[in-house]
Amino acid sequence: MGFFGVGAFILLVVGFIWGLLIAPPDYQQGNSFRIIYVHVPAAILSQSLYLAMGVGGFVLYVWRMKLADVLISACLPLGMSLTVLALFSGAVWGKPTWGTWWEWDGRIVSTTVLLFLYIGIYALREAISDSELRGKASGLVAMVGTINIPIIKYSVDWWTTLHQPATFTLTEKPSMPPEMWVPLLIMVVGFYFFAGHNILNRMRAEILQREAKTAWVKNLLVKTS
Amino acid sequence: MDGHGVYVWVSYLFALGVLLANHFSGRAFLKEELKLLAWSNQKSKEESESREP
Repeated sequence: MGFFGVGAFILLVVGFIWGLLIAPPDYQQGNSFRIIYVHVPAAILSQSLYLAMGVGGFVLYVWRMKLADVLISACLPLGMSLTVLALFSGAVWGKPTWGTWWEWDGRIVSTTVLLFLYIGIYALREAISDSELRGKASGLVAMVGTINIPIIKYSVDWWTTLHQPATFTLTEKPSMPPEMWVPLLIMVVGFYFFAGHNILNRMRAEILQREAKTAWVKNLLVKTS
Repeated sequence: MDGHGVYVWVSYLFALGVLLANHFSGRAFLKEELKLLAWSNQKSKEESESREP
C-alpha cells in the first residue's frame, strides 16, 4: 500500500472512531456536531486538489510538462467526489442545525460552483481526443477556476452567512477544546494522506498507459514479471 | 440522546463509501493497466519468437 496508504488507513481509522464515539457532543448542536470530522476534511481537500490542478495547468502552459496533465487527470475523480461529500455532509448537518438542507449562503454556493468546475473539466477531457489539446483546455479551465478558491475561503468574512468562521487559522488559537480539534486535525491529515495514496496510484497507471510503447516500460514489466 | 444520530451515521457511511470507491477504482485502474501491458508484452514476445527461423 505504501507510506501514504498505510498512514491514511491508520489516521482515518483513529479519526473515524474518535470523532464518532469518543469526542464529546457540542453543547449547542449535540451529536450532529460530529459531522465536522468528515465535512471539514472533505471541504479542505476538495479545494486543495483543485488548487493542485490549477498549479498543474500553469506548469503545463509555462513549461509544457506532460506530467502536469497527468496530475490534473489524477486529481479529478477524488476532487469531484470529495466536493460531493462536502456538499452532502453539509446538507445533512444543516438540517438539524439550521433547519434546512440548503441555503443560498456564500460558501455553499461557491462550493457548488467548485463542483461545476470539476464536472466541466471532466466533461472537457472526455470530449477532446487529442491529448495535447485536452491537456491545454483542461489546464486553462483549472487555472481560471482557481479564483473560486479564495471566494470559498473568504465568503464567511465578506458576506452575511450561516456558516461559522474557520476553526483553525495560522495565527490564532483554535476555537474549540483539544478533545474536539485533535480528532479534526487527525482526520484532515488522514484525508491528505489518502489523497496522496490515491493520486500517486492514478498517476502511476496513467504514466504506464501513456508510455506503454516505450522501452523502459517494457523493461519494467520484464523485471517485475 | 438528541436524535441526531441518523444524520451522523448517514454522513459517516457516505464518507466511507466515497473513500472506498476512490481507493478501489484507483487500484483497479492500476491493475488493469499492468494487466494490459503484460498482455501486450507477452503478445510482442510471441510474435518475435514466431518470426525467428
